[in-house]
Amino acid sequence: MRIPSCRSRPLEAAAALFIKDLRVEFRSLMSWGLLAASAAGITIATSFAFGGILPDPLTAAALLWIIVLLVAMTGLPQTFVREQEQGTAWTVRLWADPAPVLAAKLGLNFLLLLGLAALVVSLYGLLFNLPLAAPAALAGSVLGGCAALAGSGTLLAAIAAGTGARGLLLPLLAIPLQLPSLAAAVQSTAMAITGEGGATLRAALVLLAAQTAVSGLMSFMLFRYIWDEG
Amino acid sequence: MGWLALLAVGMSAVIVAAFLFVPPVRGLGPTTAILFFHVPPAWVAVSAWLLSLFHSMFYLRRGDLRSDRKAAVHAELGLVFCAITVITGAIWARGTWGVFWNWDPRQTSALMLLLIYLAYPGLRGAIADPIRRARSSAAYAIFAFATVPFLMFVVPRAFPSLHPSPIIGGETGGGLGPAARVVFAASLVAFTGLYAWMYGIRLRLEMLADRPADRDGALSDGLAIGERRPPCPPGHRAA
Repeated sequence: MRIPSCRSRPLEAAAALFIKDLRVEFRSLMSWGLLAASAAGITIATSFAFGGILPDPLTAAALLWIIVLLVAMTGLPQTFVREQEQGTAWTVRLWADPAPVLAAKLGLNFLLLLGLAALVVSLYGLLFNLPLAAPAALAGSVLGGCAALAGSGTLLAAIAAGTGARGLLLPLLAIPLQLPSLAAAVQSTAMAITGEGGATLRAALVLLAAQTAVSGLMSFMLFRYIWDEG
Repeated sequence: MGWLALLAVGMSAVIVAAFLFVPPVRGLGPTTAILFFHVPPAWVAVSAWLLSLFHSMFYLRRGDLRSDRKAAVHAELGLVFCAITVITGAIWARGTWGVFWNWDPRQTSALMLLLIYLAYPGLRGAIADPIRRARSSAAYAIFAFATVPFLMFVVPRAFPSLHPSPIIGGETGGGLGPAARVVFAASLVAFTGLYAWMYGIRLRLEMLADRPADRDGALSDGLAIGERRPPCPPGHRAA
């Protein structure tokens, strides 16, 4: 069967690949289900360790993002690993340019991070009686934080997926590079929990947006060197 | 060997002058001597990472593995000099603030850069295929350098810090006397020379590691370690 190439229509190619990846995830439900279970387990253990009493907002926000980050370290490379293990990587390489492939993987990883963050925040609400002083600010912080982490994490996940030691390598590569994003996400989330912020909250969100833009741009520039090598 | 002797003498002179002849600088007091072993390694580290960035870009453009090796050596040496910066900074903090570490923005930025570039040799070690290793390392080096201006120049100025102002063009720089300025410049030159010396050795080792050896351990081109290839006759190109 001849597979029509999508090289002249990058947006369509990105959308098709994104839907394909999403479909594969929902067909198995295994990897995302396991990641969600891990995130839930760690959050429950954290709540148990704190005796159900919410620590100060900064500690609570830091714990939230550390849980999301650590669980994401296992999940981010999955989309690349699956392409290699199922033997679909070369078909995707022939069918689409690297940029749409990265766009699709970025979208998928953003969705994964968003799901994990939403789950952890919901469990925080249940287990810690998390006060929601500024829900819109919290939503903005979660969206900004997930976008920033996906922006840098996807390229690094592609690099790590091509090595034999991906489980150990991705945290080594990604965590130091994501520390600025993590710090900004923690600050903005803490301010969203307390309802304070204003200019400081806006500055943290702008920082997250800038980090997302820079890391996203760099990822699009560099991805073809990782992806074409196979 | 002449310039190596000059480097040894120069570095020794900087050490002696820093501890014995430079009067305490305003704002630094008795910890002034650390200045000459803290700021120059930081500059050298940033320069090394900049060179690593350039060689990584050359590699991705031309595919020449020599650029990859140069990028790797620059990145690894930058790590060494950044470690010197972090350690001397912590010693200075202990003398001035009473603690080795207090998450000051400058300390934090330097530590983050150390961690970022600590991953680079880890990445290279995890990939056996030289082409894949070179491409992944080059991409990582370029991606990592994007954080250097932000962490080195933006964060320390954007957040309140107890760290003294920048030495070049800052308030502390204005407070440096003539003797301190001379020693500071000499230290900068000495650390750069030290870096160049280490780079030469490290690059030669990298190149030698790629030369296949026969069963008796002799290298394939018949040259001993450190021996230079004789010049080609006119009209011939080196292999």
